[in-house]
Formats: sequence, structure tokens, C-alpha cells
Amino acid sequence: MTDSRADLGRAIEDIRRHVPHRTYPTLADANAAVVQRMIESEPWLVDVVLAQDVIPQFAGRKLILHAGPPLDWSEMTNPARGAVFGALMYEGWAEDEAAARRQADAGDIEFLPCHDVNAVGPMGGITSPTMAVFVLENRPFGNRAYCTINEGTGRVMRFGYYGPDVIERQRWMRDTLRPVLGAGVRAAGGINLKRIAAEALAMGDEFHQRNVAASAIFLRELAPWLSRVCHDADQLTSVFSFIAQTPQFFLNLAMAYGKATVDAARQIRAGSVVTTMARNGVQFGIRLSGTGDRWFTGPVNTARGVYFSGFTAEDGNPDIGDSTVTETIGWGGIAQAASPGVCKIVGVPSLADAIRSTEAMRTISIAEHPDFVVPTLDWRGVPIGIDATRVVELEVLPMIHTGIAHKEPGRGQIGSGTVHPPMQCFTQAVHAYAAQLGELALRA
Amino acid sequence: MYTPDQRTERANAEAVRRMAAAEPALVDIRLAGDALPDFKGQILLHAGPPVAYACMCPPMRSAAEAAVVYEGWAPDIGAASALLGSGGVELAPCHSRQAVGTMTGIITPAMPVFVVENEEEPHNVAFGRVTEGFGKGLRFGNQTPENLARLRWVRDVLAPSLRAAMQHLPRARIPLRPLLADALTMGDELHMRNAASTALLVKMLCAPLAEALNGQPVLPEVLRFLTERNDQFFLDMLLAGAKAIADAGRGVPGSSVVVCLARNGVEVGLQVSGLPDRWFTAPAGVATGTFFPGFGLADANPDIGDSAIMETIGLGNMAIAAAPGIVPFLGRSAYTEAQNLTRAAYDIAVGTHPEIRIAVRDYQGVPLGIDVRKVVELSYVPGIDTAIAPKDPAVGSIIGAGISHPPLEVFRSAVTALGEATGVAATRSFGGTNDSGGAATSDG
Repeated sequence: MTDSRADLGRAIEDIRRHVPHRTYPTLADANAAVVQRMIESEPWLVDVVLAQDVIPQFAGRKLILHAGPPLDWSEMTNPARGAVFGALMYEGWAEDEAAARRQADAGDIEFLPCHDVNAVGPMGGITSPTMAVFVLENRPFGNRAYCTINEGTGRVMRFGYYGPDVIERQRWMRDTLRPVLGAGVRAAGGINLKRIAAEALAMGDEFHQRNVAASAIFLRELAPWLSRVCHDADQLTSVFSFIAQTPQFFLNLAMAYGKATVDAARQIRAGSVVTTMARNGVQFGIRLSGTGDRWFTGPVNTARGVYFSGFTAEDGNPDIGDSTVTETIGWGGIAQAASPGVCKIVGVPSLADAIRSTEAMRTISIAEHPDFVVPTLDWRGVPIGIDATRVVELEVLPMIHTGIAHKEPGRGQIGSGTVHPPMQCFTQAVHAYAAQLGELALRA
Repeated sequence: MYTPDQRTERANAEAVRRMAAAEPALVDIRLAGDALPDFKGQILLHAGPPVAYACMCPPMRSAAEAAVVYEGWAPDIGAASALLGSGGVELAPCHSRQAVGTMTGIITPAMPVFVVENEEEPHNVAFGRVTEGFGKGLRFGNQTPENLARLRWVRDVLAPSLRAAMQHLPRARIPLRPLLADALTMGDELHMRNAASTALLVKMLCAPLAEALNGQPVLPEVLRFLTERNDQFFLDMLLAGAKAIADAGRGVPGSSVVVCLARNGVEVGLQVSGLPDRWFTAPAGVATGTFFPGFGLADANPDIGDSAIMETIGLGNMAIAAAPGIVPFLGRSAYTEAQNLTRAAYDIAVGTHPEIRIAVRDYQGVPLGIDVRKVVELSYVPGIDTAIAPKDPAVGSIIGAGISHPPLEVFRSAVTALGEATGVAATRSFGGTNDSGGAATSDG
């Protein structure tokens, strides 16, 4: 395969001229159908359970889920490795770090991408069978998606901490937070996350690096229900305090929202819409609506941005996590103009720059989301549905907001910034879809 | 030696410095009779400048009558009216007792108030009524038994619950300046939109309420009240915070900075820092904006309420660029209109607030300290974001919202009086005629 512009130009032409795209007369029809599903998606939080209760792949083996496209234990970067140590100790599979390392090195642990099992995970994305997960139901389409619960700030497993405090918090999340939240959510008949997100976007959240409004609104919606189902004042107080002190609490809900949305869209197996973007610390992987489960990968970049005092780009781990699912549905970096608050955090100098950036994202996107409107842009919707052919043609890459992990395990978050996927993900995907359409044509 | 203008500039700089330094915090919730100085017996506070019972607008009369019944000073509305008509109840503006009240603004001794203290010099105190929440209310003149029952619930259940919860907050206080600043970056202008500030407050109060009410059955009912369609509930507390900020700037000799702008439904009243005990009044107009279905301009009461204290400290309409979400509700169609209003607000302000900033203006501080001289020179009166009250108190709830303009006359009177007090001409020589430079005019 070659990346020459001429070859790419031909591949794009082939894709655009090809008729039909499965059951859709043209590429535009196929892409519109994919994006329509994204727009119509309406994920509700319906329960909070153990991962193994809803992910059957955990049964009968030592399986750990990770972020991004598939990778082996030997390739994992330190934030993910640290989290794996923590998960093995939390599950009681290993007594200490040394034992955990031995088991992983010996190949005793199986690994799968979260994305393979209707799940997503932030940063390392490490998810083990008895961790608590949110259960989202995309009501118009019936599909479900899962994500672990945000652990808060400071020392957390998603950035590779695996000390006893982090494991103790996981136990509290499993034994207190999960049952209380689960009962409240069930009593409420589910929580409509689309409504919360639409309100919060207008308050400056982009759901990747800023979730302060959505987290507060989520608590506002759920609080009366929690007070009705939980009669233990200490437990209720601890749950309220935890959510109130976790400004990124909604991030994991937003990620599961994104996963529920893209999985509904992925059921339409046609078109050039990017339906997955995820990083595993080594590779950035994307998937297209038309090419199904195939990953197209390239080496991840390291984010540029604002480092906490005492840290520099030298300390940053390469880009990692499934949280780019937010950009995949038009949030995060794509919606930068909606979030002046995030501009400061990720190092965008002014709102004017953010508006230009979001305008650029419109050029590579299929549509504007009618329900996620940006008041400061006179209520225009955020761009949604990245078209891989336009990314390649215009050489405009999706803008991504991201947290930056320290490259050493257990050092945690050291900053936030912006990053782009490598172009080769998109060029490979375009070539592959063109080739796939060509083969179909030959067979016909 | 300073010229008179230079003296005014220096005085204004000092007034604004004090306002900018103010750190209002909610420190208690008590009955007004216990909290306000010298507030015992049959005394009733109302919004705006002084007004006799016979001259009150219908909603204010109606609210005053209901409050007299609530207090038990009269057995029914008829007797209440007679008592008020005979001068049996002392009347005073809220502002004369360091208090503020929304709409009719009625406060009597047995009503609970938010007690706010400025933690910086001059350590002034301010009060705001704990209002009855969404829908029909005393603030619109509602005098039904249901509303009186709700007032008692607010007094007997809600206020004590909130007070008990406060004991579990750090320092048993709620710092209000950071809350105003955060909510302003989340799309509230803090006058007609408080969705973000309310969500942040509820988030802050959930755990303390659960802890304080420790299993008591009122917890779900209190949480439901705070979270269901009640985004403006905390407005009165925030207004007390604004009052504390404005009053910090009160009483700087020679200063032409506005420290009070208030409406009683008949007249608009203004006070300036340099003449803190003088009211400058003129007839109130009706706001232009949008009406709820079934209501129109003919149903609207003239401008009413102390809530323009928000504009007095640079929020509300002064900062409407920060709150695009409220723009259509106020009857304006394009976000650019909001941007223009805020841009113009800087022209009549002495300075900016160093901590309360507008995110979409790349974090420029809100315009702080309206200078009556500049208003007169430019013939540009600040707008006030406002709810529109019905003339007919039987309606009992908001019928629309819009932007009102205090009459230019109150600013002119203040300029004249300041000139007389300091022995210089009413306007600066370069100010020319009063209608020079007119970027806009008052429609009040």
C-alpha cells in the first residue's frame, strides 16, 4: 500500500463514485444514515452493576479489558501496566505487584479491548470482572454500553496507580457506590443522559476535559432518588460527597454515551464515517462504518498542552484511552468552541482560536447535531460524524482534548492538552474501504 | 490639588476597589426578626424605593396583605388591608435594612432570610428572603392558602434543614463570590438564569443535607424541592451576596458609582455611593421581552424588584454576553445582541471585577461600578434582565421576561445632586448636552 496523494485521490474518487454502498444508493446516503443513527441515539443510564454481570466474556478466565486497539501485555505502556497490577490485586488474583507482574509476563492473563465487548475505558481503560460499571441503554436502538465509574482526582488506577488506597476505593465503589447508585437509577426509571448533556454543553462542558456542569446536573437529577432508596445516612453522605468532589464524574458516563451511540451507528455497515477512535498508549486506532470491526492504526502522538507545575512534555505518556469516543460523536476537541473553560486547561489561547478550530471540524464532518447546540455560535449544532475521506482529502485531522498521564506507572495525571490522531489511520482506512468496494464490484 | 473630576475619579476607584475586594459568604439562615437589626413588631419590608401602602402596585399590595395574614397580625386579607391602610404596619424598603427582595420583595419578621457577611472590609452584612420557589408565590402577590402553607413549610422545614446542612460545610459557610464566578462561566448571568449556580449549590449541599438530616423523612422532600424546576430558588441568596458587594462600595464621599438600583412596581430608585441615603426616583416602565401564552403587554406590571442589584455589580444584563441561553427568553433573537449589550456596559462602568470574569470574552472581568456621570454623558442606561410580573395578583406567577431600562432621569438627578453636594457643575464640561453621544436611549 502506498500513501501517495495520487493513489489516495483515486481511492477517494472510487469511494465517492461507487454505487451502491450496501443498501444505500450513494456514499452520501450511507453516511447520512450512519450519522442519523448517531443523532437519534438517546442513551439512558439504567443500572450500575459488576462488569462480569453484563460482559459475558469474563466468564471462566482471567480476562482484563484495556483501552484502544488490541495490544499485548509486552507492548503496554506504564499507566496501563500499573493499572493491570492494581486490577490483579483487586481481583485477588495476585497478592502483590511482583506476583501480578509474573502472571502477566507468563501469559496467564488474557487481554481484550474494551471496544470488543461494548465497553470503553478512560486512560489505561483497565477493567476487571468485579469492577462496578455503568449500564447505558440506547433506547431508540436497544443496544447497551458499559464503562467503569470515574475514581475522582489524585491517585487513581486509570493513570496507573495501584497502591492500597486505590484498591480500597475500588472496593468502596463496588460495595457502596454501585448498589446505592444502581437502586437510585432503577427507582428513577433510568436517567436520560442526552437531556443532561445538552444542558451541560450549553454550560461550557465538552465532556472530555470538562464535565463540571454535567456532573452537577447528574447529581441534581439523581439526588432525590438516592435519598429515597438509601436510608443509611453515612452511605448516602459518602455517595453524595464522592460525586460532588469528582468534577470529571460525568466523563465515564459521556464515554459510555459515546460507545452506545457509535455502536448503534456501526450497525449500518456502510459509508466512510469514523465510528471508533481509541488509543492504547502505543497505537491510535480508528474504525469506519463501512469496514466493520477492522482497526486502522498508527503510532500515537504525545499531547501538546498545559503541564502541571514541575512536569514537562518529557514526562508525558503517549496518548492513551478510549475517551476519544467523545470526539467521535462531536464532543471534546470537536466542540472546542463550546467550552471556553477547557481552552485554558488544554492550552488554547483564545476563544477565537477555538471557534476557528470547531469551524475546521465542520469541514470534515457530515452533519451538525440538532440537539447539541452551542449558544455562543448562535445555537449552531456541534459537528458530528467525521468523514475519513474528507480528513484525507483536506488534510484536516480531528482535534482531540486529552488528559496527559505520566509515563511512569503510578505518577498520575500531569497535564491536559490537545492531540491529533496520526494521518495514516485515515489513509489506511480510505484505501481499505476503496479496496473492499472494488472487490464487491468485481464479485457482482 | 485635584480637580473635582479627579476627586470623583479617585472616589469611584475607591468604591470599586471595595466592591471588587468584597467576599460575601452565606453565614446563616434565620428568621428576619432575629437576623435584621431592629426588626421587631409589625414591620414590613418591600422592594424598591419607599412607597406607601395606598400607592403600591397591585401585586405588592396583595403580597403585603398576605404577609400580614401570614404573620397573624390580621385574621384575613380584608382585615390585613384595613390594618395596612390605617398605617398599623411600618413599611420600609428592603434596601434600608441591608436586605433585598425579588419582585414584590416582601419581608416580615417571621420569614427566614439568608444572612450574608462580607468577609472583607467593611464587614457589612446583607439579607435575602428564603423564597418559596417555582410557580405562584408571594413575590408575585399570590395570597392563596396554598401559598401561605408553602411559606410555613419554607419556614418550618426547608430553612431549618438548610441551616442544619450548613453546619457540615467547611467553616459552616458558603462563599458566594467563587460561586458567582463559576456560574458566570457556565452560562448564567445570575439574574434571570441560575441553572448553573443552582446545580453547583445543590451539588455542594447534597452531602451536608444527608448528614444533617440523618435519615429524617424530610430529606427526599427537601431534595425534591431544591432540584425540581426550581432553578431560581437560590436567586435571593445570590442577591444578598450582590447586595453585600454593592454595599461595600457605599458611602465613599464624592463617588458617582451606583450602589443600588431597585424597582417597586411604581418607581425606579437609584442610590449612589457618595450620597448613600438619598433615593433618586422616577416612574418605572415595563420591560420589553417575551410573554407566556395568554399574556401580553397590557397584563404586565411596571418594573419591580430589588434583583437589579445584580446589574449593580456587573452581572445580569451587564454580563449577558456570558449567558447566551437567556437571550431568546428575554425577547432578543441573536447572540450578537447580547455581545453588544455587554460591550456597551463597559462604557458606563468604572472598572472590572478581577475575579468574576466572562469566559467568552477571554476571561475579561465583568464591568463593575456603574458611573452615573457616564450614563448621563452617553445617554446610555444599563438594561436590567427581569421577570415580568402580572398586574393582576390573582395570576400570582411570572407572565414573561425581558429587558427593562431605568429612566435616564434617575441618573441625571443623581449627577445633579452630586454636583450640588460637591459644589461643581452637574456634568463634566466635555459632557456637553445630556443627549450627546446617544448610543442608545432609555425605553423605560
